[in-house]
Amino acid sequence: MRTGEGDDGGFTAYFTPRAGELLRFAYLLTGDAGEAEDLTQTTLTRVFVVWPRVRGHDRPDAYARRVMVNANTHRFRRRVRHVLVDVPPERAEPSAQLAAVEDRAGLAAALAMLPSRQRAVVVLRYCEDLSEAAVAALLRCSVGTVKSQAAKGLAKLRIHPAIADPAAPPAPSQVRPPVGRRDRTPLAPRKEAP
Amino acid sequence: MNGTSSGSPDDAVADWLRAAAGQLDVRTPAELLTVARAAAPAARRRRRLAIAVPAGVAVLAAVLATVVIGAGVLVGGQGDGRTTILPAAGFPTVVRGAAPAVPSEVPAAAGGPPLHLHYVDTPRLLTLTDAQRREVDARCAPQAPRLFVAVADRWGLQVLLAGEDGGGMCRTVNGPAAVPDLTAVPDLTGINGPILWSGGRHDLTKPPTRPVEVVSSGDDGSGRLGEWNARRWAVGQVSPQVALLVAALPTGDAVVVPFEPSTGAFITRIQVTTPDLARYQALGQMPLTLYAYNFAGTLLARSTATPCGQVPVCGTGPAAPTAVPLPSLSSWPPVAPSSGTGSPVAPATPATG
Repeated sequence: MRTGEGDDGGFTAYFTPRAGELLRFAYLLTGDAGEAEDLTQTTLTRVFVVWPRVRGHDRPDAYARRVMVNANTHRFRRRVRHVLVDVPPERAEPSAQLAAVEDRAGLAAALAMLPSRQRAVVVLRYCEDLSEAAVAALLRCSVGTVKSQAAKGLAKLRIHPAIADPAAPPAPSQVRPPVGRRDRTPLAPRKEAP
Repeated sequence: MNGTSSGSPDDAVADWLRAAAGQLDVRTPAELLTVARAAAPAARRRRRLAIAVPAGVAVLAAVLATVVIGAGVLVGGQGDGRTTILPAAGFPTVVRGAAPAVPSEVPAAAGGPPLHLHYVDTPRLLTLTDAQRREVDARCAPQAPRLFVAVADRWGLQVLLAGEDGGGMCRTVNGPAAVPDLTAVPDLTGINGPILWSGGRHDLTKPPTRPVEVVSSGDDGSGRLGEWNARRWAVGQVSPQVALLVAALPTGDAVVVPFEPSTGAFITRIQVTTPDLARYQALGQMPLTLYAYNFAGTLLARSTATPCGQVPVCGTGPAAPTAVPLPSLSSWPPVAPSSGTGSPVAPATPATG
């Protein structure tokens, strides 16, 4: 079946001021600037494909967030097994062409404790400050599920050092520089310099 | 902020999350939107294939399509000289009885009371003009297509097409006609639709073995704040002994489904408009059940198309039949519902007609 082509029907105008918010949300879901950029691109592409249908909604960005959550779930399912190597792969130099996220408090490291769905609930509820009803609508689940997942998530996070002891130094992954596409998957544990 | 700290451990964690999120500094790449748009054509192709075609079949179909198109170009020159869609041949020997009275209720789920129906639309069969067929052909017909059924309802036009390389539907979703006009010519602006199956997965030129078979179904929607349109749709075929087909949601929203008398092919949708976003989402997840009656008003079978979840189209073929006897229209003992798209319930004693 063919779809009508032409200009983007306001897609660029709508998402240009919102791309940063989507990238931030993607970072909170993935914990990695490179994967967040990939996820944001995937999401925007999928939304663009159905843009003629979506643009009539009052909150296309909410739809985009739902697409992103689903795409991230698939990313988890498809993730290949990581292979540990002795020497970490070389990282690319920072570039304006790639996304960068500065995470001063080590938020991504803390959220990494949570499974993907629980993480999505916690991020939407507390980092994006949505109401329980809004989170439930976005994730297509009940408010009760949001409450229970949020409570479980908070309980897990409570034991994270950065939260349990705010005076403790932040997690080492607090600053996420841009990374090259070929080495976005963390293949090896970081080694401390001797 | 949506909440404030009241001193509990959870509030402290929540406050930390909010504060940490507030400190995030994100630099957006300059080409993010441009790259996303550039990837859309490939995504569209993947999406079409992913809708109804398993991955292995998709690869095979792609290889075969490449070979066929290549051979066609070599033999026949340009590849765009496609013939216009043609009507399906049908079965000249099929004689159906007159449709019985439209039921006002149908059996509900096991143990439940009968479901009272309220009809929300008046879909009717439509004979496309040559111009309309050309428009459908230009917008959404698969290769060498046959037109199996065209239906007009208050939301526009629905067409079911099938050809050598698969089947698909083509629809318009216009604003509702305030008063259904049975003589109006549907506006085909924006007509489009997905491929539902590939190759010869379903042969609509032969009558189905069961009274009603759903070959594909799905849900979609549209709307804006205060006016949400939830749609559940299904395509399939009824056997020659079926004289009346009714589609219904668990809410009682229903339509009489017109089907092509010769082939029994049908395409139907139930669209419900609601101002409530939660109800809109709930409607999209409801099962759509088809009830098939013979000319005497006996319920021959029903088939329930369950929601697809995260994909827009599902139900690529009927599963193994489940033989469960069903009652006639005159008596309504509770009957366990069938589940799954295209898993019809066969009658204990199939009527002939």
